[in-house]
Amino acid sequence: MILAATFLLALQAEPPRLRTQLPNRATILVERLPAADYVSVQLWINSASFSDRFSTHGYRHLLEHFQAKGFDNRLDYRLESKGMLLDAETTRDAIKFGIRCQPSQVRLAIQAIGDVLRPRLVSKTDIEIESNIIREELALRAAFSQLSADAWLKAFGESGLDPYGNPDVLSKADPTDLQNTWVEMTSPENLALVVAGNVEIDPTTELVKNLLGARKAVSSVTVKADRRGLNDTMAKRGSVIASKVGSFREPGTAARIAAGLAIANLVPGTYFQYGPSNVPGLVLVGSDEKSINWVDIVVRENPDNHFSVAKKLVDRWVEIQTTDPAKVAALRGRLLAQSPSLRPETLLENLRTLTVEQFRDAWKSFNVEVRS
Amino acid sequence: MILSLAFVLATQADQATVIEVRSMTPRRVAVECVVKLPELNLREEKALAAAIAAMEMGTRRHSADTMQDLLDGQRPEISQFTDHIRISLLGPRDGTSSALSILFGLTNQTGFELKSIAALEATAKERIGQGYWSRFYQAKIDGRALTIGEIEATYNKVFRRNQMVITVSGAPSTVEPTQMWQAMERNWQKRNVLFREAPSVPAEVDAYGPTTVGLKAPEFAWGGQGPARLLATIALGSGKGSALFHSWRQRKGWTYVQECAWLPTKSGFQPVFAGITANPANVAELEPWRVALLEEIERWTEEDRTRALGFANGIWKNGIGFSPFLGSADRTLTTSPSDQAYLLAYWFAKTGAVFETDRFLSLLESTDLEALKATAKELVSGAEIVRIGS
Repeated sequence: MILAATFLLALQAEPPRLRTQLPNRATILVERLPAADYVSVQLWINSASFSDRFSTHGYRHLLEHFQAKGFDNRLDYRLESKGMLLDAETTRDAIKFGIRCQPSQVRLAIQAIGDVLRPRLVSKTDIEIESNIIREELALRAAFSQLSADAWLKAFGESGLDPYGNPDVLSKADPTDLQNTWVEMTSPENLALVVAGNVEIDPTTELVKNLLGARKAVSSVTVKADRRGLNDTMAKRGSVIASKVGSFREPGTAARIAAGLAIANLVPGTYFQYGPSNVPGLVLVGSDEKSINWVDIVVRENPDNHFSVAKKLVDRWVEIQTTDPAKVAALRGRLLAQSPSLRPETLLENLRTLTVEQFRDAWKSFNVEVRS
Repeated sequence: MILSLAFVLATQADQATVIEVRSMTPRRVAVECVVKLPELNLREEKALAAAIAAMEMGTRRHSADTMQDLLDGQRPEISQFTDHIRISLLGPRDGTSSALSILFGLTNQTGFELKSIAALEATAKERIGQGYWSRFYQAKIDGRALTIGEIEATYNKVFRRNQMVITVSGAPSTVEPTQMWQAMERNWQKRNVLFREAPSVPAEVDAYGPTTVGLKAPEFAWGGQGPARLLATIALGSGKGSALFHSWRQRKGWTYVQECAWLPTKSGFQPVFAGITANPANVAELEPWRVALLEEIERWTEEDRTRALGFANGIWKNGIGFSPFLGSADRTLTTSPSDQAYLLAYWFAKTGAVFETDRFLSLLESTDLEALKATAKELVSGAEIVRIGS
């Protein structure tokens, strides 16, 4: 009885959402969050078939920079005049374009996503200038971000290349190649568009259908993400401690997230990093400070003493991921772009039902340091 | 975006001012306290930074772990500015009493965790002028060693009830936050500082590497020209439609990061426009950075004014972020419940008025294009150009 009641309550607590897969295999998800004070519209483009290689390192990032400007370089201008904001991000698995707006502006936001999707032919000069801007972006990365890139490269080799790119490679990119890559990458089967906020589900879904429904597949070949570990250990350098994880669906991944949050909590000003993915990845904890001995902290501290605070930190993490429209759209969009069948509920449930034994094992898995 | 229901409920001369904001569907309670600073000399500024470092380690009422437990895993955040201190507490929905109790413990009855004063000194030096935005103050640090007595005296000088504005933002409760706080205030002690055990020695922090170029406009008090200067600041530095973005990034390719902020000062605010570059060739000469902005202002049309107004609307009504006001030494204000509550407390402490979004935005609209261009030119032409970093 108690279990059944709990299950019913959980069902009632779930916000209404509708996932739609169009005939052209593009995916739409609209989630209604009545208490949200803004709407997040996010386009996620699965780029598993176009993952970074040494010879094309950063092409996706460069395309993100160009496409975010819109066809006339004035998309930001138009959105900001209406009090809306566009942000863009390139991850190892996907490219994201997000727009923050009010419920009455969703139509405009979806039109803006259409603007982002339009292929552009840029000039060699444009590429030269933007490569320099990316060179500046790279130089300004936080130490933690650089260490994270080192850790990924060490763990996964070329398939773990960081998404920022190599400005020297980028400056030689061919404009037509870039445009063709964009056209192929935005083939509908690679697209997931998520709208989260205080919106009506059916009319919003229709608006997105109008944008994505008419797109035709460009290539019938879809390559699945392939990220195989080259080795299981990382060299001891840097002020980051990491744990390798499998799919986001595995209970061990949830336990490592909880352990990572608890370890990060032990040192003020520490970073925690995990991006849910269906392919192997890393849970990272680190700091810009070089002198922190992470291994010593993990060995010295008894995980049992931190389980209680870990549960609170996890609750807070889950609360943010499931109530803030931008986080909701990002969590779902990131997974839907990989496969329409992927949903974060398994991860959230694993986090909610985490046991102290799982937590203890996960804590011990943070046993490899990276130091710069 | 500021919640609409704000009540100023206690303004007696010898008490803290309490502002209550009631939200219908809060998930958390946000308690924000602004402590207006008296005149402090260099030595007292360092002593205050040391006191804040000690406060974060726990109080007589609550250890650091207990504070974190009561705040559902969050830690209190304390930021030091030139004109005020911000204490930020975010707790569970029903945690108003606990959060106020923690605030009371921090601002009165604090127990300093101290054996080595050198450790606190090191942290204090890091705090003063080392934040991303606070670097622009270019603060001087008194190098002589502090004494425990100086830290105590500064603490007692700064934390006075009538210099505190507290905003409590959360669900209505049976006992209102004002009553809770006033009940605690009855136990307020004039001097009460206790020292005990040692903190760990803080780790070394790397200096920030790349070069920051900053245009520091003249300082001014909020008043008649304030709204025009604010709109000009947004037109110049907020968003990807701004002059900084178009000029320093898109046309010149000098920077990836460029932004603006209003540094709080004793007499008002100081607008700062900043860009960061890793290429030494870009900063061989600094004057071109100013010239590029002035050229950009000349190109402004009515569309630029509309964009700036739209962006201001986005900041304060749509919650898009990028406010020019600071939330800490490292970042500008966001639209989190804590930052919204803080803005209410700070604006009241600074101007004596409750921040009303619609009225505030309507003030900006009265600036026409010519006035906007003239104000922006004045800000840029009169700015001191500084170079920070290597």
